[in-house]
Amino acid sequence: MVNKMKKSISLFLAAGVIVSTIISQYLIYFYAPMEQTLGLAQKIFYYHLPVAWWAFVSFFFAAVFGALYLFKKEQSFNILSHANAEVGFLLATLTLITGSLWGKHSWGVWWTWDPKLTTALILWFIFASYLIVRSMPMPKEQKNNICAVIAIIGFLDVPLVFLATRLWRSIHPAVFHSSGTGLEPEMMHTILFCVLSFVFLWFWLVSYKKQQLLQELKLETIKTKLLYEEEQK
Amino acid sequence: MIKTAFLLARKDLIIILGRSAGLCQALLLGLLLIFLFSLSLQVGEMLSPHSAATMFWLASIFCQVLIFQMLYALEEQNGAKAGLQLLPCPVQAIWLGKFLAGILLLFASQLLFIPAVFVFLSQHLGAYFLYSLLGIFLTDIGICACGSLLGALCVGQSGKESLLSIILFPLLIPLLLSAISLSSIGLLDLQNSFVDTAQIFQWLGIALAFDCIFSAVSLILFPYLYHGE
Amino acid sequence: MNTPALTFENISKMFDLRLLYKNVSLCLYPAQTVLITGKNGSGKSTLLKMAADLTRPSHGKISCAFEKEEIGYLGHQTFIYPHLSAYENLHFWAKAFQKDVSGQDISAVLKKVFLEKFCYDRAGIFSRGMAQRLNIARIILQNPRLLLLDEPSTGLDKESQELFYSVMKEFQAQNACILWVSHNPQNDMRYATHVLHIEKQQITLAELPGETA
Repeated sequence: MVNKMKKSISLFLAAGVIVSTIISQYLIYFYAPMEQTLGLAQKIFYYHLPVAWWAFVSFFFAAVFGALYLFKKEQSFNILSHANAEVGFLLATLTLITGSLWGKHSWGVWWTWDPKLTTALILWFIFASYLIVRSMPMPKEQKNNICAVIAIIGFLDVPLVFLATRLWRSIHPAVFHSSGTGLEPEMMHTILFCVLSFVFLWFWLVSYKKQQLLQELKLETIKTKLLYEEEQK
Repeated sequence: MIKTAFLLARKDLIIILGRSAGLCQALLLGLLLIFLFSLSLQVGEMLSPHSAATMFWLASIFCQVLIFQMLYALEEQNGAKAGLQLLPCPVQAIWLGKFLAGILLLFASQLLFIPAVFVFLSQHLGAYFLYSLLGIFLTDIGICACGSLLGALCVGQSGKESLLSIILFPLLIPLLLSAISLSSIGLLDLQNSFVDTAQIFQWLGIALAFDCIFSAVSLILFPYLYHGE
Repeated sequence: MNTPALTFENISKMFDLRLLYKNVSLCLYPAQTVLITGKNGSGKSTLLKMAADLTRPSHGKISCAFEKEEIGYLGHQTFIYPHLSAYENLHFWAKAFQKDVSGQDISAVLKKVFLEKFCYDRAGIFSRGMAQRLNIARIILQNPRLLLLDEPSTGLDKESQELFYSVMKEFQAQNACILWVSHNPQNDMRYATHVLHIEKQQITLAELPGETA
């Protein structure tokens, strides 16, 4: 019964991913007008923004579930934190690549000390070390605790990084804040659709990773049990 | 708790300053970094205060990684870590003890790095150096709060120096930006003598916020890192 | 004898992915010397660690009648800082356990464990036997009422072993509760009043008949 439900949810998500991807591609290339100065390169933006947003959401959940794991000591929180961290890392990598391409085209540099870019890079570094710790050989509980702590402090660092780099120097376009960004309504609609419809892909990735980690834990438990029973004979 | 923290810090300082050459290694590494950077200067060229301040902080944070790795390594022999966990006081006392020992060692190292910046990188004292001193003080608190928390995390791991660095350095970036800005205004800038005083207070605010957030978080999270198997 | 020193209520403990104890309960009283037996990996040391609050049970509740400074832990690991002298080591641990000790107290204890000649030598140069005697000196200064022993006599020479047994008898005379994991249970059985056996995630506590040696 539960399995059946899981399967249908998974199917629903997969369908959502396919449909939303097709629609968003249509919107990006046919509905949204071509930017006059940047040309085709401006389309990167429609990929950059969703991955950046959802990377941030993933890291947020990684920190929240990490904190819940520390206080409640429930394995499922640990697994959710791990799954979110890994998906977040993937999305943050894509964010940095697309952001860098965008930066080269529009500002003429691959990299600049811009608040949003720097925040993304720092989160990427912190969660890279998170994944390194995940792969290190050490007792399970200790590893889970360490990873939860890294996720929490990494996320708490975000506002400080943002403020500090903004004071340092800034040229990143603020999309939704100021009115003078020159975005046409069609562009706005496309961006909104891309960002919101990304939830399907994101949820699908996280739940798959979670499933995989659960299986791994089950397998390891069975293995240790067998090993121990063998030793007792 | 405070008493135990002082006792722990005293013990750590006795061992590190009196009985081993550990701090000398960290000091030499920092000095070498500053000296090597002077290679980037042409003959007669002056380094901008901004670059000099950056080198100063690079030397400081590398030194600090070695200091905290050293402080936590003291408990790795003979299971002394379990001994500390058994003490009749909150585990946070250990964090505080290591923090106190670490910040004193870092201050001591910086007493050497500051003249090195003037000598090797040919800097002169500017008008706002008191703000720089305040900035160094606030930054050291934040650096050591994080170092004391994360030093515990790397106890007993292989490759702990590099592990500590890769987690610590990205985390410290907001603090370092503030530290570099505050330190460079204490040095005389021949090209550009304009200093925005409003910005000084903003940077001090960021450093202070970092100190508060990470001291509080360390006190909450430290038991999870230092307790248990 | 009426108030228990240490109670375990429905304890379960996972070690990594393995279940060590399943819903066990236990009640220990002062003046009991409990020898813990069981196979390798059955969780003998983990039981001591739970009693010392070094690790927490996965489920259940542990209550201890004593404060933390009254719980002594003597393992095969010596807690010694090799860069500090024997005297400094003892001074540090006594202060850390909030004991008010004078220099004379420390000297007296060092004499008792035959280390008075090495008082100001760095503990790093000590042999295994000397280091463990210094560890025993630490426990004497701490004077705990619940004593947790984790194979303390492993690798000790005859002289040091005898010292260990005589110190333990002193603690028994003071009605301390002793939990003891030994590397040589056949021999040490005669010093114990109870035997606690761990098997198949369960524990059984049995009283030993007759006098203690």
